[in-house]
Amino acid sequence: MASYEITVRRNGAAGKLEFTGGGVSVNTTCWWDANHVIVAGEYPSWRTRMNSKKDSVTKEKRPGIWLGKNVPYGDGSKTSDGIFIHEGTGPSWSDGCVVLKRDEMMKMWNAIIPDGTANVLVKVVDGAGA
Amino acid sequence: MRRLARVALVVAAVLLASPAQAADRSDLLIHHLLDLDQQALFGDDYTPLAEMEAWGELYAAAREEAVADDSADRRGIKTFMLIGWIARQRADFGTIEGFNTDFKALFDARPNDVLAALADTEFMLPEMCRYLAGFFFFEDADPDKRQGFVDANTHRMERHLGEAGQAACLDAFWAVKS
Repeated sequence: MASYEITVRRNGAAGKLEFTGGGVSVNTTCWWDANHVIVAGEYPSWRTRMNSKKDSVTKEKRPGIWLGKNVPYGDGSKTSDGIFIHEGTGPSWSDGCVVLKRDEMMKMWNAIIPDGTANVLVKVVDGAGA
Repeated sequence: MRRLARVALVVAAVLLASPAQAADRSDLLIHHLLDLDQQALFGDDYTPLAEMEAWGELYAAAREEAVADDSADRRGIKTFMLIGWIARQRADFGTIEGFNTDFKALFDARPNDVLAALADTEFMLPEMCRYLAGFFFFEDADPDKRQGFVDANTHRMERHLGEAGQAACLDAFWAVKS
């Protein structure tokens, strides 16, 4: 059973990312690439860092939440092993990942302890009332 | 099938940084490209996270080696391009997002070497030119600067790629709209 939950509520071209845990609450706008949309569902995920990108402030490896292997996207016929939640200021920061402003990302990321284990459940849901 | 054979030859030829590294790198690249079960590569240490992290470490090392590549056959640059190419084939969005920025930076630093490497690896040419275009739509970049980039590099594209290669590159470049 996951220790933490992140909910991505999609409604049109943007959405809301919700997280509560470790004494922290996040409810903030998030974005993604409209050409590579994750199939709605639940994904056991990991707190980690990305080797391919650097944090925009510290220049260390970028903090991220990795959604695991074989995440379906589009019509569900294809999958990706490389979808993360990470910092970004709009959909242009995504080629398939979910992005949110850095301050909110770091608030959430720092509250998730420990890393290295799939203790985060990312729920991707569609619709404003979902 | 012929295209895949060329990919396999590139993989086999350029990964001999050192014998110990070559086996690991070759294994990771082939397994990632072909979506093979990687448990045997990690033994008792396998976890999905370890697999993802190994790929990320390979990416980071290849990026640094490409920047410093002084090999006669430009294997460091070719290896890095291959990783970006594989990322697109496998819809590895996290790697694609990194490559968007890193490949453009490599090109800006070493345009003649990158184009010469592309001339040797034609199967990667369209995808790499799409990446160069994609940079201008990514993060805070300005799509209006694409023409200036092309104007600054079109002469060396023709010199290294020939007319046909230059045309193929620019076709792929301008086909990217977002």
